[in-house]
Amino acid sequence: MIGTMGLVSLDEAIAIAASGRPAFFAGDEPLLRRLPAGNWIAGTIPYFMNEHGSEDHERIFVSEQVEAAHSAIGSYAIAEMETLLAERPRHGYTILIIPGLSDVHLRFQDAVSSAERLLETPMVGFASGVALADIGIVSPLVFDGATREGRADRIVALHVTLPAAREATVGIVNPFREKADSVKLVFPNDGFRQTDVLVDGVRHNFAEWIRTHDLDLRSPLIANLHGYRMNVSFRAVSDENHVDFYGPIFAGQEYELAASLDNYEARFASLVAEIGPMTSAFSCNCVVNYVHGDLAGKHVGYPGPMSFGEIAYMLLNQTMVYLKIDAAA
Amino acid sequence: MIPNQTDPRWRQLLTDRNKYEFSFLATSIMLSRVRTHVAFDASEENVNTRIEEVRAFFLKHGKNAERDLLQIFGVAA
Repeated sequence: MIGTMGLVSLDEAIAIAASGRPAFFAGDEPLLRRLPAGNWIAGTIPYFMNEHGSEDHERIFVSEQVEAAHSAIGSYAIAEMETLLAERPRHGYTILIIPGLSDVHLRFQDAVSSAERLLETPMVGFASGVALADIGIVSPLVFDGATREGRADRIVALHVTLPAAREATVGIVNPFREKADSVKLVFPNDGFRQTDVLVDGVRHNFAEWIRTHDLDLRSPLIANLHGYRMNVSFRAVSDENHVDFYGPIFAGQEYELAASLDNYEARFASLVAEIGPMTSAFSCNCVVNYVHGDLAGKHVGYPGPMSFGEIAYMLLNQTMVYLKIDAAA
Repeated sequence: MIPNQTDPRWRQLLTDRNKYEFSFLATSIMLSRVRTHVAFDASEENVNTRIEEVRAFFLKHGKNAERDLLQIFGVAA
């Protein structure tokens, strides 16, 4: 069973918000500010995958959570992660939206990576964003339908309880694979900015090493956690010899270089075909894929926002995340 | 049938350097986290605690993690 999932007019979005049915929205800030109070959460972003990829400032993306037996929305500071995790339903799932490029975004991975209860309930979400030309000028925001307030310092959550006969599972589609002959990279410090790196055990300045090896920065680094491939995307290599990423690096974790990807459409099509028909209650993909894959006007994966970070329990980059609801096993 | 917690393969799972390709996302995250815990504290007490944690995970998610169990133990839930 699938409710409305895709781009709709502002009037349609207002009607869905007013209906009280649980939903999440994504769109431009002025549009989200016009939604009436209700049982919803939202995040700013103007990039979407619908019937094809687009930048849209006129419509709002909505995904109604039609299988919910019960739902609740919440708003949390990053320091309240344990509370957020504890308030997830025992049988169901939680959708999160975090404000992109914020302190919450920077600290999210730390907050969840040590949480003992992380895997008890399926959890997906995304980091909100802005038009790429507005980065540094406009702050990405999140909204909860109870207050209708836009915040850059809170996490909003939609907790959905499912009927006993239905079950949610989280999945990711990572179009990247490790280069066959990749070096092994290990960083000495956690964080979004790195200076030094061990390349096959030999210490280098990472920015210099990148320039020397003419690395393709459109492809991420990959940490392979037993099949869960976590990408970390390059943001910039500075002249001051540090490297910035769109996601956090973990000290001591082994990373490899990803092979270049020429055809995003074909890769996503083959990977999504393995998952099967669309029964997703949530999906998002990465704005870095939108840009590097030149996805405007192209169709890849399931409908959803093209975000500044994807959440499948943990924070990911350059990855499609989805949540499927099927008959309970 | 999920093996009893005294089965030596649990300890092997937590301490060997084998890389797996799991299909259930939560299994991948769970094993990475547990192996990190064990790498920092390989005491008998901690290893036993983590074995209980992993076994409880598979008892709860056995059906969804069926292919992962087959990969580790050669048996389904």
